[in-house]
Amino acid sequence: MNSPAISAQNVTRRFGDFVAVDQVTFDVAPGQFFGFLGPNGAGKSTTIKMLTGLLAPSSGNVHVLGEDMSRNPVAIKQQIGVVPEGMALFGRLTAAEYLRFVARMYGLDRQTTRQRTEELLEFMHLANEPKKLVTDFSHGMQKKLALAAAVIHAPRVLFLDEPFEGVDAVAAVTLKNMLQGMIARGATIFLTSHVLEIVERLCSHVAIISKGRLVANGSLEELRHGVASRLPGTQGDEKLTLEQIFLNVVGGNSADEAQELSWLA
Amino acid sequence: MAGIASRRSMMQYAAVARMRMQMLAHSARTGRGKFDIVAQIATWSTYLFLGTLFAAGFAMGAFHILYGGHLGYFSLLIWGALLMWQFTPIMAISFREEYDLSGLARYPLGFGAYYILFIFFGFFDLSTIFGLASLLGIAIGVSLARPALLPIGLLALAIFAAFNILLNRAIFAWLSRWLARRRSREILGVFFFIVVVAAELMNPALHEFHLRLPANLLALLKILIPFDALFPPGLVSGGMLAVTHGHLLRAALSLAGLAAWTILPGATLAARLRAQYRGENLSEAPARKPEAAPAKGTNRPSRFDVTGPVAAVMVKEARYLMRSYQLLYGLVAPLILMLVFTGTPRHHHTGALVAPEHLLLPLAVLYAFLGLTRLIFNSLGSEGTGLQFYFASPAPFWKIMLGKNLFHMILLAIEIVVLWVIAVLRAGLPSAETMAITLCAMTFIVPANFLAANLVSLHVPYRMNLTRIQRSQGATANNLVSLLAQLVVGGVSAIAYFVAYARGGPWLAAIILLAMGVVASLAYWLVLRGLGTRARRRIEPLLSDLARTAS
Repeated sequence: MNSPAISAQNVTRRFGDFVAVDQVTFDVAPGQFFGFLGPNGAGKSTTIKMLTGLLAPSSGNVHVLGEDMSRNPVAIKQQIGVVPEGMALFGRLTAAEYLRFVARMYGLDRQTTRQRTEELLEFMHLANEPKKLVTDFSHGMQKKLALAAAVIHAPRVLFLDEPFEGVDAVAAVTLKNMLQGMIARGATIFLTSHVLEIVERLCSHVAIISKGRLVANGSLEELRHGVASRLPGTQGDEKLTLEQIFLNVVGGNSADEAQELSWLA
Repeated sequence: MAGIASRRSMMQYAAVARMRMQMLAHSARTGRGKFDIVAQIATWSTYLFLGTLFAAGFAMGAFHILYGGHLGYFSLLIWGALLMWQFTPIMAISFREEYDLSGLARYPLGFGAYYILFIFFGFFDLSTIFGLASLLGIAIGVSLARPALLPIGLLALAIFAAFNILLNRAIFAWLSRWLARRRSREILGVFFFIVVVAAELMNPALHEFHLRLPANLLALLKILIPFDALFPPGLVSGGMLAVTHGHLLRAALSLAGLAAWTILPGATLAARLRAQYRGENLSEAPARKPEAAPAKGTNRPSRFDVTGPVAAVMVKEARYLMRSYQLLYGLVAPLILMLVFTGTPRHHHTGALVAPEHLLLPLAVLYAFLGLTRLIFNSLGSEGTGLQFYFASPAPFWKIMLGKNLFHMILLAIEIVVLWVIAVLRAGLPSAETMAITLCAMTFIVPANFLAANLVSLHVPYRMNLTRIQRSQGATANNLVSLLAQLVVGGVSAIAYFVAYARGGPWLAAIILLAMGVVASLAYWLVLRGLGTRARRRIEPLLSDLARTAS
């Protein structure tokens, strides 16, 4: 059996007394499109930061492509692409300059850098304004640029923190096609998103984190089956949506709470 | 540290350098950016000029010591260079424009390359320029006075420079880490207040010490001199002294000792950067406690709960101030300056720094303004993405600025009163004439400065990070314009005062200043009311400078 592309074993991150991520353990198999879900403040971004070497775990181990993140972060970073929370772009560069910078950081040669930069800018529809600075891009354009930068070195594992936030429908379809193409060619994608429909459509496996703890992990079918067996009045063959699964697992609901806000029009 | 000179690392250095150059070039696209570059050039030219003066001074010192055959005193010169190198950032409050390397952490950058880049960015710093200039001056002095000592001198000074650079960067890195926590900043704030109080209490003792300074200094030096040879400056001069006596082994040992000293800050810096490189959170999060669910019915409004945009902005400003050690430092610094410039208490006039009594109140006003410059002249700088809210909210923009101005005026008034009380306690009550003229001058200076400050805040703002000790992009231009505005306002009021004083005495001067104050207040109000239109025209550049993607 292949070793997992991403492996988190008992990963914990504390900030003083506050435990942001608590003993999280999961594996992501090579070639999997893995969705990582959770309510706001559940620990998604902290987890993704630890998986990509941007934050050291307080305890536990992270392995990516068989390498230990604490021992060999450079080798891992060479093979992964990241669209972090907030994107962390360099605002006062043009898109092409930014992509060339990223390519050189990954050690791509001049010819490959030029070729991939042009292709990515065309693909992401960012080539029309070569002199515009990144800081002047719309949010959606910045997202597309961040994604282009994350894939320019053809990573084997891609980590995406809310990649579709603020992206228009046309661009979203383009991006989804690109990501599915990467999966078809054997890449692994780890995705967090609040848009459950997108996760349901793209991901084969899903993990859910709530209050720092992993509360569900498995294929979509496994999660459906697990939740359906617990829900009273649910038929075994009834297909639950990811939203129903999510709400059931994290325990959020809330018609009752909404009704309390009686002053709302 | 393996791989710092590998092909990939070299490519990464080149990529980062190229990226910085491109960003600099692009910053000149806008008028604001061009102005910032001009301000940077002016500032750096001043630094270079000062550096040249330091180099000349140290060159003369080294020449004089070596030519006169007083090599034993050479160590004092090196100590001077060391103290200047390490203390310049504190004296000049030189929170440099620090490039945040954490943005590079997601790339496959080796630790060695990360370390090198961190050191590299430390070169563009006031203290490094002054320090290197002083060492260059010493090298020139050595080459002119004792050319035979130049090879050992250059080698020793090069290691000494490396020691200083590493020490400076290590101090900066650790301080930055420490001050990233709110609790640490609070401790530092308390420490500052203790220093101020201690300075006051120690004054009589210092006065006695001052009278016997030459004898005390000599006694102190006699105690310290035997230990000098163990420290970097002593090792530099010891190595050179050994060469003059033909003791090459001893010279080599001195250099080895110097190199060992250099490893110490290097290793300390490495320990800090390794944690940074592995990923750490420098936010306020560590201070956060798990939140307890609020009990129903206990959600009482806080004491500061007010309604209306002006009051709301004032409360928000107060909270920001209490959570920023940088801004609090701005408030405390003038108090320290006032203590220094007023010298010893009233009946112990000794210090050369003692200011004339009739100038103490105007000085208090001046110091208070200086301390609050960052707040007043960059009043939108700490808003971050919150700035967008001001434009999205139904509150008129002028009311938001009025809230900020009123809060800053209250702070200014408190600061002036405290400073003035210190001045009165130490130098006695100024005459009624001085008080009246100063108060009349303030009716002009305050609204005129706030008028200018509101325009500067809108047109030359810069993004302040209140949790990091760093200077931000655009800070130089803002500081330069703020200083110019304060000079113009101060100059106009001074000219008016002197002309009126010469023509009709102090009371005419007071009346003229009061009349100018009325005009300035009217102008302030008119400009304030027009700020909304002005701000709407500048929404894009403001958001770009203060709220958008980090550069």
